[in-house]
Amino acid sequence: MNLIDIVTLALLGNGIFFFFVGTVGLLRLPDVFTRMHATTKCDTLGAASILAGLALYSADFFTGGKMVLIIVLAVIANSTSAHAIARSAYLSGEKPYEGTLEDAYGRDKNDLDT
Amino acid sequence: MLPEIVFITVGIVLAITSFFCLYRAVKGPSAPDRVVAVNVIGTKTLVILVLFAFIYGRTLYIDVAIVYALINFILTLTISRYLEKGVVAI
Repeated sequence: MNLIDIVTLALLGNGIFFFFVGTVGLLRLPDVFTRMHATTKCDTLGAASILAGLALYSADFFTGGKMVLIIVLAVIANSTSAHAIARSAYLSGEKPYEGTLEDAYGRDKNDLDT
Repeated sequence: MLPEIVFITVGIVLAITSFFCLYRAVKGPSAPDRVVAVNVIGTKTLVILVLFAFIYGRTLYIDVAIVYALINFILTLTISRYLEKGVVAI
């Protein structure tokens, strides 16, 4: 068991932890915006962590390069699609739950409308 | 060299958490909840595909994972556009 194996195992464990936290957040949080907040960050970091560990383990230039490509793609795609879902959820009438302290997007929208 | 059982274990744990996400996709009160849950399942499937490449020793699965990431992205953008405007066309 050399150093690369140990680093790969640590990155795999890190990724599983973040995926698990994201799933717990998806199941337990109260409304769609907070669920999205949990899953976007945890999924992006978990997938990037597991893929980085596997790319390090593969020790091949083309395989590792493809996996770095997947990491870049996943980071860009997850953040962009979370933004799109949040915007469409708000504009299609989804309300934040009662404990929300401030609704900045709604306030700005009202300022623009009036 | 790591034994194969490590990758199999990671894949099984991800598959189990995918089933918990499926609960939100079926039950979820609103449409954006379902979209978020399906997006999460897509990301986990992508990682499982890359793990398959290491379990079976074939790099073909990594190319499949790249295409799967692109399809997942397009799917989410299309559904969110439909929810926002009511039409898919630009």
